[in-house]
Amino acid sequence: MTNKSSTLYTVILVLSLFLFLIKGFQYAVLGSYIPLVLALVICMLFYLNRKKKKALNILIKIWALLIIIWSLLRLLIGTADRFGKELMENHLQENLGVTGSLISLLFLVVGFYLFNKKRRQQWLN
Amino acid sequence: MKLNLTFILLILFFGCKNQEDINLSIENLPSKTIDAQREIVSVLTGNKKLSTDYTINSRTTPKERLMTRRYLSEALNQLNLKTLEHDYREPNSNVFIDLLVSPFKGTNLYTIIPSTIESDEYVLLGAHYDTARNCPGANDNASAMALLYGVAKKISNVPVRQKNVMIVFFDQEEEDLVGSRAFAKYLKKKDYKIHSVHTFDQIGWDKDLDKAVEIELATKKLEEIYREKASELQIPIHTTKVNSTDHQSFRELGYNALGITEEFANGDTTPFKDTPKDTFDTVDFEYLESTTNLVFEVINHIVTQN
Ligand SMILES: [Zn+2]
Repeated sequence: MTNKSSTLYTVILVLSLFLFLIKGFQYAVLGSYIPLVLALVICMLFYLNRKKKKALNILIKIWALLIIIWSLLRLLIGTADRFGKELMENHLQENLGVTGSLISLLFLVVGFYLFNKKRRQQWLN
Repeated sequence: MKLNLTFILLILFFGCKNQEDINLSIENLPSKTIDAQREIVSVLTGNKKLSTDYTINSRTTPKERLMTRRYLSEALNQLNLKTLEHDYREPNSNVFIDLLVSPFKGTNLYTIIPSTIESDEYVLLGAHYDTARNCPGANDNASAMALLYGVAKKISNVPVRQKNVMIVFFDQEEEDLVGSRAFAKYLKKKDYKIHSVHTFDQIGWDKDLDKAVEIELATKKLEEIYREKASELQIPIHTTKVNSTDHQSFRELGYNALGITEEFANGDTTPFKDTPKDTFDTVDFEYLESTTNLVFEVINHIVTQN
């Protein structure tokens, strides 16, 4: 792995965790604490295992999978909603409309990018 | 790779769309209350254009809700009432949804008709202004917004008022009462002294022409006032235990709250609720006028009593 692409991998990994943390704080302010707790647990796991290659490998795999599932779920719900009109609240539709779907797609790419075995192994080594 | 990153950032910021401003100045509302109410329901349901380039077809999207607030604000300004906005963010109904999407974001619009004798007590009247998707929402709930306009107008003309009257238009009732829940919390936080909360939902259907209304979950004392005023106006009144609208949000926080509606439990209610057929021409304005008078008499009684 070149230096450049290694940095990019780090940036994307850290950014994805950071965005989840932001989401956690955003909800904690509103009195919903579970997202923050989850985000902190995941960040903590990454931090504690930052020097253990094997564990880190598994962690990235799980994290990437979670991102992929998250994106797919959002895309699925958003698409289902466009066909079944009364399926759900306006609020969800607003979130999973065109902009929301673009965000989901972006994270889907991020998920696959992080999950990619070759890239992951190279980055770890 | 640099290009890729730029692309990523671009998409991230794509979400921040700007709301274009539409110049809005509405002509003066008719001086006769029922005519003004007809006009209000007409504009709020897209039966009449809001401005040359905008029609409120439903009140669901952020833009539609913004335009609705701006119209309501203008209407109240014409009564010399200043409006205030209460912005809120609320979590979703469960954590799983929190993890998937952003919090609820909305705005309640309210105005205060101050007491003429100093008082820290408020009587709150509220109605939601949002609709289900792609619905003009004439009965649900433009009718109740028009009722609030009528009551606000009449109460402003009462010479001696011992209590303040707060008129609130709630956002996002159709989504688990989010707007009214946020407003109830806000009142609690600000420590408002609330005499009672009266919320209105669907005041436009009276096929059997009996002018009857239903009051939902009133306390005994409030029920008595409503019964007394209704009997003076020869309006039949029924009590029900329907809990599925905004007054629930206030009762949950311990406020003395009740709901007023057409004969919802009795079945003399619009069959078009939450459909594109809930249109302007299905609203019975004489019924709306009759209910406006009843509510005015009740609120007048409350604010003129010590
Ligand atoms: Zn309603």
